[in-house]
Amino acid sequence: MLDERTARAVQLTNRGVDRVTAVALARDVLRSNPSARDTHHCFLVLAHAGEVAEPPTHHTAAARASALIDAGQHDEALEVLLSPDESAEHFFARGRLNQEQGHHDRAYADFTAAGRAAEASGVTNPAVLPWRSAAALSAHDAGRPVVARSLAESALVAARRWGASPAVGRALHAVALTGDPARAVDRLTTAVHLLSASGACVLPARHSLAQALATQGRHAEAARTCATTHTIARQLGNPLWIQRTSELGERLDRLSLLTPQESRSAVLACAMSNREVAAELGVTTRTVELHLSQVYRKLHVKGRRELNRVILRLGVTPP
Amino acid sequence: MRTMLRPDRRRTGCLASKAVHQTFGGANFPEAARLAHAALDARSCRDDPVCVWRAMIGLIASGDLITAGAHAGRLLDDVNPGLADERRRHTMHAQVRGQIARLSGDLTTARVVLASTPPATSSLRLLSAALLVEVLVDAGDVDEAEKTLLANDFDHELRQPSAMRPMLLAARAAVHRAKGHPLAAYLDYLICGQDFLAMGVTSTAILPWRGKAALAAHAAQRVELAQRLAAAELAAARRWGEPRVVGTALSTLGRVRGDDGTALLADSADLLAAAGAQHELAATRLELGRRLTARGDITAARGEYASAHTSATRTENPAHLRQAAEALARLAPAPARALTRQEDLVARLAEAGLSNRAIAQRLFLTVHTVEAHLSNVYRKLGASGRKDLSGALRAR
Repeated sequence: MLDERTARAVQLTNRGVDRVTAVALARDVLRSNPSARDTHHCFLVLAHAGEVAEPPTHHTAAARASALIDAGQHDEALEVLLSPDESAEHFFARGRLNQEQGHHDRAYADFTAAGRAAEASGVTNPAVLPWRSAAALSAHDAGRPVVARSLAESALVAARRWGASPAVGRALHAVALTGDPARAVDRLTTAVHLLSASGACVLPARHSLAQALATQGRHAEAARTCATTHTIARQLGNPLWIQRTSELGERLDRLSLLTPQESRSAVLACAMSNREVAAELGVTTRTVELHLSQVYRKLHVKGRRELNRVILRLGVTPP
Repeated sequence: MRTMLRPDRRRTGCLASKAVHQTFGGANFPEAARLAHAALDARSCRDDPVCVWRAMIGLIASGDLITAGAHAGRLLDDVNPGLADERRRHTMHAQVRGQIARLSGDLTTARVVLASTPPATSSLRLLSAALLVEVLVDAGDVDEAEKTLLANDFDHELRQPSAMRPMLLAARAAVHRAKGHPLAAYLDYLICGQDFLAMGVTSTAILPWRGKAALAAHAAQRVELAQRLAAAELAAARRWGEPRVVGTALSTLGRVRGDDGTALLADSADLLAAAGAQHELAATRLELGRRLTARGDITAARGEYASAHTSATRTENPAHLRQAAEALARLAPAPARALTRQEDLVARLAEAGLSNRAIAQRLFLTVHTVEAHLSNVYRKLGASGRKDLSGALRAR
């Protein structure tokens, strides 16, 4: 049997209201010689409230799968997720795997299933399970921007209601990626600030910030942000983010090698033929071809398709 | 008392009035929610019933029904009683609770709460009546809705413009529509919109009058007009951004458009589900089921009707329950043939995203065997491919 105060704290946390009371109750219990179960739940309350670092749990299959996804071990994560399970955490972990693998529609279905399961068990706090923000990002990548933006903003309202900085930071990250691109840098900067005390949780936001800065043409800042993120990833020993920041850093370096004319041609070539680019820039087709061959050489890409990938999909535009 | 629709000059600048101002402006709902939250904590606002009331409006319009519900009791207990008498505060409290219940699809509670409180001033009485009429129409009790209009002398009250008139017009329009007089409904919604605009309320968060006018116009066979209004509603809804409002606008547009509107209705259903708007969700899913059936996507249609039935069970709306049940019965019943153990394994691995080769390797079968198993699975479950598999497995 849980202590009354623990039960109340858990209830408030699941609903996502009155964080101050939940924290006070949890601390109270922890000070008064609690049972093992009470300790476990109260620490979770404090973690969701942003008061302590999230304790790494590997008790459930979903938690193990999540950790495997964080480490980039997708095959192993899929193995773990094959056992049938209708819990919110299971759907959420499956959604994360699908999202990482680019199956955005399936990820969206998984995240909304996670949301239904969570609501059914009374969990509406995004700090406990951020299914809305995750669903928003998947919807965005699946080409459903109206749904994405609305979900992301409603997640932010819910996160602010609870008020824990890491939860607000995560929600703000999703809002930045699904909302007005002109506001992305500001929002991501705030998100990074809110997540700065949360260990590895800050890495995705920092990475997005570097990409957003590059998209806005602020390449020096982008490179600096990316380099710092890389350092943090190394300090935390996180192989997935070490690799990602490394790749982004390289791409930013290479892009900065392009001359302004080369980069204009490169960006336009993603959407038009050489002739159309030439017309747009007021130069000859031959000139455009010359620019592009330089671009291919400097960016180590073999043709237009790869160029598209580097420039458009990664949200990084050359200076 | 100064109603919610007339900003009080004494209190201009306080957080609660800023929250209401943001709501009426119709853009950026997270900001309205933030202001409303701040108002509930601010020393200048927390004890003032009008401020708390305004914060409630901001919270409800922003979809934060949880906070609104948690703090509604303050209208009764924690505010300075000198600033509004007890009956007035009880009525305000009932209206907030009634709205929250209605928006969550708990029409039964909404009805009880709104019908039971004896209101104080006449403007409050009329507002309670208007909210009650809308709930009665939602619940399918059109006779009782009409009686409520008559008992409160709506036709007389509506002749003069007033701060309450838009809400009263919308209530009467809802009854017109329910009784099969769409043109009369359309006219009421138009005046409602004009009243709002005259008061400087451009927002769709208080009442989606353009969308409702669109549906009325559509029912009156004025298709082009309906489409224009529905498009304008969606634009306003997207400015605000809150899931219920956007979902409702998408549903309206999906219904009045000439094409099958499936994508709009699917997006609508997702947002309405996220907002917990069970009543609107049931209606949208029923419509989506109809469109999917029309284009031959039976498995998906069955899923939508089943979900609509679940929502209708929660709202206890008899029309929705009946329509969902009838639709499910009409569709060819889902083949209930049992899968063999191997077929079940193969199906679950396929649903999890494994390729046929990966499944074959894992189960020590040939790819050919896996393909044969999958083909049996599709046949037995009535699925038309891997995409259908998830829904078909879940529906078993």
